[in-house]
Amino acid sequence: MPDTCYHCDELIPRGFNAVLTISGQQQVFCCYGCLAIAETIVSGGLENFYQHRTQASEKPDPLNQSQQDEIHLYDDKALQEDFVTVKDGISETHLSIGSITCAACIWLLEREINNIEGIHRFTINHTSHRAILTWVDDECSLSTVLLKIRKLGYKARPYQDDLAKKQAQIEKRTSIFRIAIAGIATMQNMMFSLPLYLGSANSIDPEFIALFRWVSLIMCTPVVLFSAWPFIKAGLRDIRTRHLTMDLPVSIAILAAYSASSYITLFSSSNLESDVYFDSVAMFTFFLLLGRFFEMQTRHKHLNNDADFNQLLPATARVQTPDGEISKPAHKIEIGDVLIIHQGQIAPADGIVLEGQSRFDESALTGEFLPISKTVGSHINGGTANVENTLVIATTATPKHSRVSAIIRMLDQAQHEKPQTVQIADIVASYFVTFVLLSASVAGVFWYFIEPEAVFSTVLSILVVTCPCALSLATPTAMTSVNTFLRSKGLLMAKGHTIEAMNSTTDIIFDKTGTLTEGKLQLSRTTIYSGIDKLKAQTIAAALENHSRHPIASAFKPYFKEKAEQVETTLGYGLQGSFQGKTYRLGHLAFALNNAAPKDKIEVPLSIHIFLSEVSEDQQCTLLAQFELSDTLREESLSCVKAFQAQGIEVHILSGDHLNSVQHIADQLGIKHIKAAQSPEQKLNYVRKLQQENKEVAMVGDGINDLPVLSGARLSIAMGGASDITKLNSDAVLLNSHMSVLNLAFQSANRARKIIKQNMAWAIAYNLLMLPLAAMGLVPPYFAALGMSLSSLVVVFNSLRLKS
Amino acid sequence: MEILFILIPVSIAFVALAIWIFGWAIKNGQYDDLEGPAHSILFDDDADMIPDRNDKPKTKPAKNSTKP
Repeated sequence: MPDTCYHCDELIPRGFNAVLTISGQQQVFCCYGCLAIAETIVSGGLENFYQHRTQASEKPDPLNQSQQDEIHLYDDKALQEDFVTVKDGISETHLSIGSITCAACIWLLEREINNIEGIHRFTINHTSHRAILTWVDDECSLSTVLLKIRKLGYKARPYQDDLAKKQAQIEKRTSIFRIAIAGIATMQNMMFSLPLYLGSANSIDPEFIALFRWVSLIMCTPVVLFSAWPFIKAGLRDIRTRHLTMDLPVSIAILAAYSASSYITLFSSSNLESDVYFDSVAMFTFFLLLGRFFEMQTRHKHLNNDADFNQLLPATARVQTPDGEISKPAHKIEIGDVLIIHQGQIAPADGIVLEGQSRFDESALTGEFLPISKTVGSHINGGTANVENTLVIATTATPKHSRVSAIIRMLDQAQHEKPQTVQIADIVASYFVTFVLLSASVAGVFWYFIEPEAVFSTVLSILVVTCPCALSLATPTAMTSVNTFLRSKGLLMAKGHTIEAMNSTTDIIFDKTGTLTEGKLQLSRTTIYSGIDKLKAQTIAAALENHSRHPIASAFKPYFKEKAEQVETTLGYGLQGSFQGKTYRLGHLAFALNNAAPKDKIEVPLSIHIFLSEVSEDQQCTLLAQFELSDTLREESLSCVKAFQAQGIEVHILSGDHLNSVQHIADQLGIKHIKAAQSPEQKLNYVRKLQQENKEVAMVGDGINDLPVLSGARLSIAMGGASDITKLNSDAVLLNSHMSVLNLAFQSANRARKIIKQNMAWAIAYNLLMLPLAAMGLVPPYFAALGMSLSSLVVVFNSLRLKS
Repeated sequence: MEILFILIPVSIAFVALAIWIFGWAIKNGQYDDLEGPAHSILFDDDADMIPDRNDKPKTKPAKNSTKP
C-alpha cells in the first residue's frame, strides 16, 4: 500500500483507511474529501483523469454549510445582474477557476460540467484559467455548476472584467497580430530576395529586379510601421529620457536598413550593385517580436492564473434590514449597514461588533494563526474569518476602503519607490550604442571628404555589421536558460531583474510563519500524567477535536481514528464529549480540571498547551495528558539559513508574531537580527532603513501582511502557499516548500552573471573587430550576415550551458 | 516571364486576404488560448474503443468531443 493519497499525494494519517477501486486497482486516500472527489470522478466515468494528469491535485477544503449557502446566493437574480448577461433565454457568465494544477484538470472540468443538463457551453482558457459558461436558466442554475466544480475539488467564482484586464487582452492580441504580419512578410520577402541574391550568376532583367524590390518594399512597409512599432517607440523614449537601451540600436538598425533599401528601390538604377535589406528587416523584427512574446507569456502564465481569485473579501454580504436578513453584493455595502457574519464566513467589510461574541481568524492580515476574541465594541477587519459564532456588526468602512484594501494600495506606492536594478545589458548597451553611433558619424564625415558617393553605403554597412544581434541575445538567452532550470527545481522567476538582484543581495529577510516554519500548528510534545498510553491520549483528543473548527483542531487531524459522541463546546475554553463510553474534557487547564486544583505539578511554558482529563461519574476530573502545540520549522530551513550566512548574506526575521515564538525559532536557526510583532507599515520601514544603509534587501514572505514589504524590497520571493495577490506582486515564487531551492537559485544567478559577461565580451569583441573593416568598406554584405548569425549562435550555445 | 507582372500582384492580394482573415480570427478570440487545443486533443476518451482494453464495460460511450 502506498503511504500517500492517490488524489492529492499528501501523507495518509496513521490509521486512516479510505479505499476506492479505480480502473481495477485499489487506491487509498488521505481524507474523506479526497475520497469523495475520486468517487465523483469515477461515477462520471472520467477515471482517465488520473492517467492524464501530470501533477497531483490540491487537497480540497471541506465544503461547510455556510459556504454552500453562499454559493446558493449566486442564484439571486438581483445579484446576477452584475456578472450575468442574458440573451435569447441563454445566460452567460465568466468564472474564475482555482486549484487547477494541470491540463487534465481542465479536461475533467469541461467534461463534467458539459454533462450537466441545461449547460450550453463551458470552456476553460488554459492560460488564464477563466471559463466561459452559458446555460439555460430554466433547466439549470448557476449554483449547480459552482457546487459541481467544488465537488470535483476546484474553486470557482464569477468574475467581472475590469479595465486593466481588457487592456491586457487587447495588448496580447495586438502582439500576436504584429508577429503574424512580420512572419508573413518575412516569408514573402525571402521568396523575392532569393532571385536577387542569386541574380549575379544568371543575369536578371533590370525590370524584374525593380519589380522584386518594389514588392519587397510593399511587404516590408507594414512590418516597419506596425510590427516594429514597439521597438521604435521604446527607442524614441530612450532618446527622450537619455537612457540608452538595446531598443535604440534595434530601431536604428531597422529604420536605417529600411530607409536605405527604400532609397535604392526608389531612386537607384536597377542593377545588383546596391543591395536591399527588406528581408533582413522583416526577419529581424519577426524574431525579436517572437522572443518578447515568449517572455511575456511565461511571465503571465503562472501569475495570472489566480490573479482575480484573491478571495480576500467575499462577493456577497448578509445584511440585516427591518424585513429580515437579505443578501447584497459586497460592493453595494454602505457605511452604517448592519451585517450578519455567520460562523465560517469572512467579514466583507470593516466594522464594529454590535451583538454577539466570537473569535476571528486574522491570519490573512497579521500572520497570527490563533483566533482573536471579539466582543461588543471590538473592531472587525474585512477579510478575516469568523471562527465561532454569529456576530452582528455595523459597517465602518466599505469594502473598497477596508484595511485589506488599504494594504493593497500601500503596495502600489511601495512598488513605485522600489529601487531599480540596473541591468548589465543596459549599461553595456548604452556605452556600445554611443560608440557605434559616434564611429558611424566619424566614418561618414571621413568618407565625405574622400569619396562623397560612398558615405551612405559605408554608414549603413557599419550599422548593419554592428547590428547588435549577439549583444541583444546575450542576456535574454542566459536568462531563459537559468529560468527554465530553476523552474524545473520549483522556483519561478517572474520579473527580469531577479537574477541580477540576487547577485547583489547583502541582506535576506524572512517572514517567520509559513516561510521558515510550516505555518500551521502541529503537536510537538505530549506529556502523560495518569499512566495512560500516549497513543490512546492522542486518539481521544483527536476524536474530540474532530468536532471543532478551531485552528488547534487541525493539529490533531493526523491522529483521528474514531468519532467521539455528545461533544459539547464551551466557547473559548474547550470541549467535552464521550469516547468509548467514558467522558473526557479537553481544553485550558482550568477547564479540563473543572476549576479544581491540579494534583500534579504542571509547568506551563509560553507556547500553546491544552490538557486532557477524564471525568468520572461524580464529576471528578483526573488529568490525563498535556499537549504542546507549536508551529514547526521546515526541514530545510536550517541548512538554507546556514548556507546564506556562509555566503556572507545577513539573515533577518521580520514577523507579525509575538516575540517569544519568533525568538524560539531564531534561536534554533542561529539568526541574530529579529523583529517581532511588526505591522505591515513597520516591516516596510525596517526594509527602508536597511536600504538607506546601502544594503540590498531580499524578502521572502507569504502573507497579505507581507505585501507592502515584498514590494518595497529590491528582490521579493513569495512562497507557493502565499495568497494569490502576494504571488502576483513578487519577483519570484517558490512553488514547492524546499527552501534549499533558494540557495540553488542564488548560486545559479552567480553562474548566469558569468555567462552573460562572457556573452557580452564575445559580442563586443566581434563587433569591434568588424567595425573598422566595415568602416574601410571591406565587408561584403553576405559575409556580414554569415558572421552575425555565427556570433549569435555562439551566444546561444554558451547560454545553454546554464541548463545543466 | 511577363506573366510575373500579373501573378505577383495576385499573390500580394492573397497575402492581404490572409492577413485580413488572420486579423479577424485574432479579434474573435481564436488565439486567446494558445495551449488548450494542444492538450485537449490528447484527452480524447477512446479507451473504450480500443478492442484490447475491453475487459470491463465503461459507464457510457464518449460524448462526441471535449468541447461542444
